[in-house]
Amino acid sequence: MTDVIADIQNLTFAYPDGVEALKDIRLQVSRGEIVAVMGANGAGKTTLCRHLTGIIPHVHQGTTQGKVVVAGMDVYEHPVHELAQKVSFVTQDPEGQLVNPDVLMEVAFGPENLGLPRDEIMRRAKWALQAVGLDGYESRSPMELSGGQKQRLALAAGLSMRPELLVLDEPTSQLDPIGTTEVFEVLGDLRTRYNMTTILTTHAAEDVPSFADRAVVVSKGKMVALGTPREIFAQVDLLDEVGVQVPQLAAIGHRIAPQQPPPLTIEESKKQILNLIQEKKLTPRKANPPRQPMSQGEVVLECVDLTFNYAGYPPVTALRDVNLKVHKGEMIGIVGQNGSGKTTLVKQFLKLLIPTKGKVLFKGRDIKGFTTGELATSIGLVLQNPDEQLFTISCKDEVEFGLRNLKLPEDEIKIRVDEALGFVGLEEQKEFFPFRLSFGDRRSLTVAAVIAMRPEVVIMDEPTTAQDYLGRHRIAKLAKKLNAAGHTVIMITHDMNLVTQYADRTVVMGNGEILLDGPTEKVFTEVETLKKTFIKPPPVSLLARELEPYGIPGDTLTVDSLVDSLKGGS
Amino acid sequence: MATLEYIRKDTAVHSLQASSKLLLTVASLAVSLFALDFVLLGAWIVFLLAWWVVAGIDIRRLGIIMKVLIGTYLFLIILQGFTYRFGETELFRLGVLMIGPRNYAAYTLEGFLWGTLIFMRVLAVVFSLPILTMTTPMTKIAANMGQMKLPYQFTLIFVTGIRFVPLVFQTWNNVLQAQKLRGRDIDKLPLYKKAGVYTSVLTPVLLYLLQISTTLQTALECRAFGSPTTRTYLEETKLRGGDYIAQISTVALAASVIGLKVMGYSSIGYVIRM
Repeated sequence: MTDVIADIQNLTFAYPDGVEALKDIRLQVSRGEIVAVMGANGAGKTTLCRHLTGIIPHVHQGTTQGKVVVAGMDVYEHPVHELAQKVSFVTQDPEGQLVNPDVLMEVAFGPENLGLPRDEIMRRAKWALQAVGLDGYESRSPMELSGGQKQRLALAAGLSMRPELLVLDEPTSQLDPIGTTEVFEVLGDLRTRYNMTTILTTHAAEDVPSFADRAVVVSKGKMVALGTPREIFAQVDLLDEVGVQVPQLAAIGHRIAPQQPPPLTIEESKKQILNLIQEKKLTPRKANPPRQPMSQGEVVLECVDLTFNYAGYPPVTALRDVNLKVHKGEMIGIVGQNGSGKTTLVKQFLKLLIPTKGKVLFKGRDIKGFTTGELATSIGLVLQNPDEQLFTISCKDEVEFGLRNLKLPEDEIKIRVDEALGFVGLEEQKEFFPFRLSFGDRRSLTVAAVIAMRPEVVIMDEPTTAQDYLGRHRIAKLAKKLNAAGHTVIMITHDMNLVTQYADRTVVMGNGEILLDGPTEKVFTEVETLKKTFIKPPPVSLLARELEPYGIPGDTLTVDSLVDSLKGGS
Repeated sequence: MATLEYIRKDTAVHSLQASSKLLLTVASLAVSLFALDFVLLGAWIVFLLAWWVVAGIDIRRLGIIMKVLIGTYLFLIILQGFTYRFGETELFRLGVLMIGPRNYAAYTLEGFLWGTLIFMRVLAVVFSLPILTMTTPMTKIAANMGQMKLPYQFTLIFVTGIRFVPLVFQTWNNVLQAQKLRGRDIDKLPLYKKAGVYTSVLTPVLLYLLQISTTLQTALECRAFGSPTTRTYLEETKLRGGDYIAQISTVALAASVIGLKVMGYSSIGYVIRM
């Protein structure tokens, strides 16, 4: 008989405000399984996690029907600290989870509470830190870490409890691509070594086939699909309908041979395509429509020998002699590993940080003489954490805030508010209190507030973090739309699918320096340099390189262009 | 706040247990309360500065604190100089402001000395804090509080509070930055308008911190906080030779200065009355 570690029986749950977050969920998870829970923002993923860990009903209350049994304990009958000995929960916001003064203490905190012997605590702490790539950071304050490093630390703190069941709510939403893959590898390692079970919510569909045994798709509180990744990713129409990303290779498979099971690895995809070519069902075609060339227009932003040190003992150098020119009308993607200096760089453009050495020029003028408020009318920057950028009582007021500072007439303000909220899909939440929105929607709201000001340059710092598939593309398309309307757009992101699809130029940063800068197609052929800064090209790019000897352009970056280059002679 | 944060160094003071330094802080508080005298407080401050030297504390790091303290000193000597109720020796006067028998426009020597003495009392406490916070990781302080049988909930509130202080400042700064990024030109506003802006920043800061505290509650519960199991402390809290020397010398000196005061010692008692 299978050893069931989590048994969710007919679970229906509504929050006190009456919103029904889960409807008749039935799921059994066996010991040692890794189950990915996918779904759009607001689908009920986090609520499900809260039930598995006892946070509902012990911390958050609501109306429940059904039963949840985890590691033999009914979550309604056992307090959280008792459940915590069997189940670890890592939430998606790392900031509020870190309570200790240094990294080692953070990881040791849980085992200390369990009263374990000191040497066992140390063993677990070292192992957990190594597992997430934070060994060597033991004495650092969590406050000094980057967003991605904080997320790794929160995960390590959960791992050190050595639970039977690990529940992770979007544990990689702020991590760089290789960091994300590494975390998933850790989960596989935990299963092999300790038969640990993992249930995690994720938007990282590309990685799901490589680590998950099964995937669950939820939509509007209902479980709409359950099966192996291959079974799930074969249901492309359903996934499109509920806003879940289909991995690129599966999407290509669906486009060229919809009747076949979806390929999930480069090898499978290559084999499928070569078979179809051999069977003369497809003929490769070399010519791809040329991308928009990199703009060589007026230089709007320029960094000259820019160096920046964060104060400290010793100071931390975040930027080293960076030279960069941003031309009018460009759409630039900035990528790089966590802590590579991306955010530090864009903060210099608005004097949120003052260079230690070098200078920043806006349209040829040193920004030294301007205030941040003045620069903000021409350069819009959306920062990472939406909760620190919302300060009014309604979504409408939030967007109005900047427009009032621009002293625009009332009718113009109204038009722009409606337009910006419509752009990000929040027109119906106009009167909502911003903190009532989901994390992803709060982020969209901050984007709306900045773009409503119609700045000449729009900079988005990780605008797609914690966004679902549709949300990510909605924001990227919006950025592209702004770009098409003449705005210069700079987007920092860890989502390589977006960069390759939308950015004409890509800047790759590592260790405070610019490692690569050029047309996106060219940059993503430099696989070894990308690896240095924890970037991996999207699967379609890797597949195109594998297929280059067979006549497919090796610099293909998107599903559409790869399919086009195959369909040409079919 | 960074001026008081822990700095990793290899000094005799760094190697002491937190309890030895906590004792020094408590002793400083006791001396400031019960040994109100120039010579006695001066001796205690010299004793603290000796600790600083041994601890390798960079005086420049305390620049911000000293600036604040100088402001406090000026405030105290001005206030006390004009208002000290036993002030008799007039140094100068700004005019006549008679309230009862006392001219509050007259600046007195006794008031100046009383203000200076209160300032020394402040120094005696403030100078002891860096010795604790800049040489002791918070983990050790928490472990020692546990060893002192303080309830763990209390220790956690203390440590979390310390952890939240920089977070409050950081959040405050980030919200302010976000407002600037929406074209609010705070830098160019007159002071009275800036005050209005700061009020509007306070609300989101509080909301964000409330939200964080809910996440924090979840995180704590999920990591078995509140479990009835006896908690293990990772940090060793065993006292060593240096701790005994530090604790004995602290208690001996504090007892001596307080004892002298209790026995009636007064360096310039004829000038100052309490």
